[in-house]
Amino acid sequence: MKSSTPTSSIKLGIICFANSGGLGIQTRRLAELLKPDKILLIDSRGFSPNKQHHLEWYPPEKTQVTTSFPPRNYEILQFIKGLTHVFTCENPYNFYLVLACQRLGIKVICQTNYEFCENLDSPHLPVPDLFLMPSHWMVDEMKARFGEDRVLYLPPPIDPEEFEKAREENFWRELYYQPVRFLHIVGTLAWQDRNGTLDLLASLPFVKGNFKLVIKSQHELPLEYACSDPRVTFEIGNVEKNSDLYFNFDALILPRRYGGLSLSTNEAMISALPVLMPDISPNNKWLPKEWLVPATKKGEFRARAMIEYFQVDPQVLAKKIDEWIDDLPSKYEACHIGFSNFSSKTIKSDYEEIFI
Amino acid sequence: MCKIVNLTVKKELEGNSYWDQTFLNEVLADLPDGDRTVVIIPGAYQADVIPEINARLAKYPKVCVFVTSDEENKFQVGLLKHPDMKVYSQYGYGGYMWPLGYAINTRQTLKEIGLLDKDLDWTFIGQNNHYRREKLALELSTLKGGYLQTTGGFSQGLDRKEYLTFLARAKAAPAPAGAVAVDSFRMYEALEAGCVPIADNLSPLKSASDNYWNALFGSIPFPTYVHHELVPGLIKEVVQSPDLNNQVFAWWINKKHQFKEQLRSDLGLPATDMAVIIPVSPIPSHPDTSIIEETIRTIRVHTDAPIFITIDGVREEQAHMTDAYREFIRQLLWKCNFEFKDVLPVLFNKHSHQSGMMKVVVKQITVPYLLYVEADTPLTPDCPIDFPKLKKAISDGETNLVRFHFEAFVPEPHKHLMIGEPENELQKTTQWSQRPHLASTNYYRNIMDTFFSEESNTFIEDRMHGICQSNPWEDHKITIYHPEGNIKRSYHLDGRAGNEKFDTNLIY
Repeated sequence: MKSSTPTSSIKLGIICFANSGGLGIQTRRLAELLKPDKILLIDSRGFSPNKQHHLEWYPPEKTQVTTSFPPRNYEILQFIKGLTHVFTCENPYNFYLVLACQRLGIKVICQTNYEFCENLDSPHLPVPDLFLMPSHWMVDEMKARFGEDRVLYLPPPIDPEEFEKAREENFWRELYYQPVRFLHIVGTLAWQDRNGTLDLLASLPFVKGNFKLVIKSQHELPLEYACSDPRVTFEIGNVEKNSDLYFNFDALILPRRYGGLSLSTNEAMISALPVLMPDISPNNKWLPKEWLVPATKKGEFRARAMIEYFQVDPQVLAKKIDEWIDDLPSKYEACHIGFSNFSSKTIKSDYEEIFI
Repeated sequence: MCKIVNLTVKKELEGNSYWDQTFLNEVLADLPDGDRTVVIIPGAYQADVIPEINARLAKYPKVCVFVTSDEENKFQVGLLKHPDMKVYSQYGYGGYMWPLGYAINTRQTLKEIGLLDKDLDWTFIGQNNHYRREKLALELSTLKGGYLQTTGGFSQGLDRKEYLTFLARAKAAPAPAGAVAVDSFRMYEALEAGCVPIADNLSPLKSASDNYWNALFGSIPFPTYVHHELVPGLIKEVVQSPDLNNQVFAWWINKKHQFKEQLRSDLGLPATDMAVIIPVSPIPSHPDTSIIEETIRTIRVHTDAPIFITIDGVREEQAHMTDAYREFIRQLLWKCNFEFKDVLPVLFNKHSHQSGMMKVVVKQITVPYLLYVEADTPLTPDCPIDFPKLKKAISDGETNLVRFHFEAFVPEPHKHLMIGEPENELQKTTQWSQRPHLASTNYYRNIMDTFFSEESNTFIEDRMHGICQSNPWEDHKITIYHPEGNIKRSYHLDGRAGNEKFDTNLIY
């Protein structure tokens, strides 16, 4: 496989996962785009048993598999041998990676999420050479902390062909079908109901119009997520292909309570689904204003750093849903925003530049 | 000494010149040849030749492998292969955990330095080579009562003797992590010097502690820290805890013994079958240690068995003796660590008396025979005791407890407590005495459970004397060692020196 990196002197290694979770999908796409020379695959079957695993995603001749999480030092030393750059998502997992790479002059690039960035609350840890921020959220804060040159906004790539069928189906729906079909994705049940599922459920009694809402979750949900509204159905479990999540809908409703990367949002846009979100960062830096609903700060919690969380008013959210039932935002606009921001074809050159 | 192979398959590599093998070598030096060959592998330098190492291991039928000198975990312990192998590694990188230990010549130098007054609250002399150490040094730089010296690199500061002298003078010793792992030479040098280490519990490469010290040692008596700003407060707590240095020192002496016993078992060496118990409490001659030293010396004439010194807390009536007693313990611990062999202190924080202490230790002793010797009643060094014969008599059920008499013969007033004539060098008696005796551990465990409550706080003899005399001999099977001629096998140094016995308000 030919490397896509700009010069032949670049030898890139990526730490990947092969599961159906966010990190698995993100790292698979990165590997597809960047065509690394080596892959350190963390086999997560032991600690993520409820996810689907696809070790076949990665070419065996380039792939070193570990069942250790974090990877052991000796595995890291084997992996980085001969590389010039190492790419990792979220964190280096084992910061010996950064130390060992520093000693050998290997650059470490970390596509991190602010809320999970270990360097923020542990200043003693060695710092990667470059942080790639997957959303606009907290980019300035990261720059203030680690320096302008060490932080760059660059979201994870999405191959638009992966969502082609979902996109086509969703465009057809707009022309022929009623009632409006909304999608909501619960995601990992992170702190404070991250994707705002409970806020959405609270708003439903106030929604007057006719609609269907499908709530999807990879995990069984707690009792508090139960809902008797006949307009709502739940789909629990893994889907075969990630794009199946977005098939046959008109919009995604995601009253997400705090910032950070939302792969679901990005994938929905590429699938031609407008996304209804709170008017908070990073949503308000790139989504059309009329897609946003006001949200109020409810408090803060400590992840790797202090994180503000917000809540939308259920009645205000309901009103916006009713507006969308009557007049759905343009799927073409959603598609355009998705392509221009996340399409691997569009942002490939941005990725190539980080290796120069 | 056991069979040791310092395994290097690279010609340019030395096998046994590594500082972090010092503690291991010292423990092994104390163990005889067993059925397993000890193989010591300096790991970091041989991570790429594990197949060759496996080929060399295959030459030995049974091995006990130690992977040392690999702070960065370059060596993949899991790739070692051998059909009959036990594996240890430092830093917790595979197999059983083995401590890094102190640097070379630490114990010899500290012994030369001798026991010094703890006139410094703390000391830190070491490299300032990573963020957490820099922050620690910053915290310490404004803290009074101690000595701080940061250096440019490993072993670039004071000479070893000066460095260890500071530790010997200090009550507390912050022990920050190394560049990768939390384990450090300083940790063990502090323990050897009778300091309370304040142990870093967070690697500079981790954002959360993996509780290394608990994983290595189980429960620990010294404080640990993750946030360096807490260290001054921890030092203050150490300084304000007058018994903590003794408690930590005693713990370390015992911990080293445990590691040795673990190796003894791994090497297939026979376990010792006897333990000696010496109870200690405040006496007027403290802090002088000469009485117990004489007692230990006479025991060692007869046996190499491990000696457990049960060190009682101070009773209310003797509160005025606390400082002298504390200093006695300090001196005794130093001797346990540097002069005596296999003498293990068991510290009691509150007054528990003979019975309270015995109830605790007898539960933990796993050997079948127990030699009880009060601190001021040495064994006669010049008269032989046929221990194998006496142990056999106990294991055959002829007797449960053999007394070592304090006179050359049984005095007339005691003769009515004797049963018949001596047989097989044993005189049956219903007279209990707390003077030195060899007993079945099971028997002792049984009487401590049966006749002494959980709150028991008494002389053992005061309780057992009446019980034995008022019951048939067969109930307790007490005998006196009665070889031909002079039967005196113990004598009295009168530790109490005529002072009050405090034999009222005893709790059985």
